[in-house]
Amino acid sequence: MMRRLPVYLLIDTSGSMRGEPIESVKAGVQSLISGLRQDPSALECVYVSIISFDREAKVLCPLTSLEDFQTPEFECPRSGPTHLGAALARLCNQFDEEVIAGSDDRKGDWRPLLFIMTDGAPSDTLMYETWVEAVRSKGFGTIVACAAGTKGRQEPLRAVADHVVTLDTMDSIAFSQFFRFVSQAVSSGAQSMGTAELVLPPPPEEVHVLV
Amino acid sequence: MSSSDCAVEGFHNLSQYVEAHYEELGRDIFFFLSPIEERLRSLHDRDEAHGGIDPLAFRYEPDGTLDAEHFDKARRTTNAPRVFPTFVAPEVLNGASNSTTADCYSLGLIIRRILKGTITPQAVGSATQGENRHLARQSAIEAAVNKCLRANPSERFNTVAELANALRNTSVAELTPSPAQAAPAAAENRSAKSRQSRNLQLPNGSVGKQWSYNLREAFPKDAGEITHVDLMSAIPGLEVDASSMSLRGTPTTAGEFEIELVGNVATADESSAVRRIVSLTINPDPMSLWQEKPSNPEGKFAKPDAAKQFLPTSALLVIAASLRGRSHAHEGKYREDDFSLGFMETTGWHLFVVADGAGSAELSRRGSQIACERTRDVLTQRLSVDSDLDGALQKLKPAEAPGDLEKLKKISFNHLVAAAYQAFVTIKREADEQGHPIRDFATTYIVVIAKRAQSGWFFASFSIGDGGAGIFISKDELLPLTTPDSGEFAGQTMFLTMPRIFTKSEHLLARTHVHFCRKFEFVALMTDGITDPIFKNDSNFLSGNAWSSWYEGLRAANDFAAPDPSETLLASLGFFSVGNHDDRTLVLGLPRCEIATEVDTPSAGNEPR
Repeated sequence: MMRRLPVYLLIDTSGSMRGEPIESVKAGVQSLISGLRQDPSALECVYVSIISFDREAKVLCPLTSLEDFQTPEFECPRSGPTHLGAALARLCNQFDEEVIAGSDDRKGDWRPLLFIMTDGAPSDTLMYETWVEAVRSKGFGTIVACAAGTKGRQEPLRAVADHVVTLDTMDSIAFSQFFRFVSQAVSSGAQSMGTAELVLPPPPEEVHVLV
Repeated sequence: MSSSDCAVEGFHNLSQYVEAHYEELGRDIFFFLSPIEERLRSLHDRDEAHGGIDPLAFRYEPDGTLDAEHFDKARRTTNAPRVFPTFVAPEVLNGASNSTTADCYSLGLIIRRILKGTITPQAVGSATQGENRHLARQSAIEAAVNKCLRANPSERFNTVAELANALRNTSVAELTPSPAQAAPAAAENRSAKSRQSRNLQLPNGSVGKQWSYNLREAFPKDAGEITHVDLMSAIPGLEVDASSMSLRGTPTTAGEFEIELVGNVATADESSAVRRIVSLTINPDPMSLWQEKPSNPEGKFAKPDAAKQFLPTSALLVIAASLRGRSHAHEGKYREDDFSLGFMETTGWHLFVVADGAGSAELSRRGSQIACERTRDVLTQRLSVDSDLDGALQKLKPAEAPGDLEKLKKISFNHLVAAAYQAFVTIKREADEQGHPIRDFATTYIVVIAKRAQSGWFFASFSIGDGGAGIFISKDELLPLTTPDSGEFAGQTMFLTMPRIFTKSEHLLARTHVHFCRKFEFVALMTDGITDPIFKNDSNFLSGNAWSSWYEGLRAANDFAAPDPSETLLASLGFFSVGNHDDRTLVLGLPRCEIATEVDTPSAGNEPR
């Protein structure tokens, strides 16, 4: 049995992401996936899941091997809230169902990686606060949150993430840089075989890491 | 399957040619037809058929020059299965032989497709969005083309010359598209583009892996009875199997492919074809992606990428090998495993050590090296002269006094822990000198000592972390020399460099194992680069059957009687196992002869098994 490296992507599909931003995110995800496919360690062990959130949280792709993965369609409603709390709840459910813990008969998954991409602040603050704790204690190898654009709020994200990055703009260049960063982080994880703490690669210029 | 796949460097296939020369073709179809007419004329004048006119026969230089040799080579004389049955005249599909008029059928269909722009540009390598551009309907040419496509061969043009002449006689005015006819094309473009953004995604394939897909599923259920499906472009390694109406084979090239499928619905009329554009991703073969970069021999704490040692003693053949794993080789990083061997002639003690430097620890290659070398030095010093251990061993009568083994365990423990602790202290000292925290030198650790006594063999071990060691007696009996250390998630290993290891003595004692056995097949120590692919999990590591299969494999791959068996052992560590690309280190000890009696006869039977 092979040890898998699960990677969860939480993508904001609220109204403000509609149009070029979400198209750029989709392109970013596609290039993330095809880039990872060129890395032999990643191709063998990386599994990806995508959960979108706007008014509701949807599992667009359950945890799927990189080989079988197909980038989904992202749909944004015209307007509406950003229920990141609901997304975290959904994520925890998926984690419990999908991630394999080690046992005598089977080697467990490596500590999963979580990347959250949002351009606003969570609207469901109570739900969010409740589920932040659950997510932090699940055992993710690393949690990176990206606050995109001018409305992206970093402070709430600091509660859940180990690292918060910001994108100044919401254009395709900024998003593609972020996803390149994600790709390098995942590759690092795959190559280091998940031992101890993941050391993130340095981020590109457009992506600012907050201390 | 034709060897002319569409991804040949520097050439255009038919789709790319149409895309590149769209304007010229719209003005004058002879831009396409003249060179073809030239090639075919000589054949048709002799009443010989080409027989292989379909999109794969056409290859062009970027400037539009036809690759004539390629076109000639595409001639068919056999009845091998075709990639594009749509382009074959119906009577030939039904068994008639190739003919010049059948060639006209094929050619006519190609001309129609060119004019309609339904040969979609194919994406090779990276995804490109194709556009279904429609050249305006050119009625006169259409009439000529229709004549090519008559089901009854006698109603068609007989030769390419007749077809070309008919086309020449159409007036220039009729060739220019009218604005009204151009407009529907634009709207078509927009909806085509939006359709393409939601291409049907076929299930992904991988280079080298069998793949198949039922083509009927690509079309809506209400499309009617589909008799056969064509691909408008080829995917290297995949073919349409007409009888099952599936696309199948073993892909040879990775990439993102976009293909137009054309399904022929039950009636013979061309216009009731259904079309669907699909996307297919072919993953590369992971084995082809691994690179091997030598590590820097001048770097800090540089270590050779491979090591081996053969140590034959009077009682044992000891063979060791250590090989850098694929993941380190891919990055040009150092091997982080290490081992050491020792034998004390005066007392008959053997010692073996293996250590696995932690992947995330910057200088773990040095940590594992110090662990092995220091342990060897300390134990050599302690065990080259008779010690309390030898005394206790001499008195050992396990059948009569089982408590003796417990006593031996404690005495062994003292020696082994002393060595481990010395190794720890030495690493700490080096870390301090280097200005690094000790965790940068993190390493696992397995040490085994063994000695042949009067009535059997005694083994003692001490270990921290993953990997494993054991004594293989038979498929029904495996004596473990290690107990696994693993957390809930893979990767939470214990290391020699963790100070807390040495602070709880009751836990420390649990890391020691002792065994006494009359005879055994072999003893082995290994890092997790071996235990993971071979045994896969902790419970299987305890299975005599699992060790037995493994041993069979080892004996098949190695001649242990060879002058230096460590060479083949090293080579055998390079096996490919998906997901297992760690450094691999293996130490084997094979007894030279069986202990048959209670009396030790040191001079007898020193041949290897």
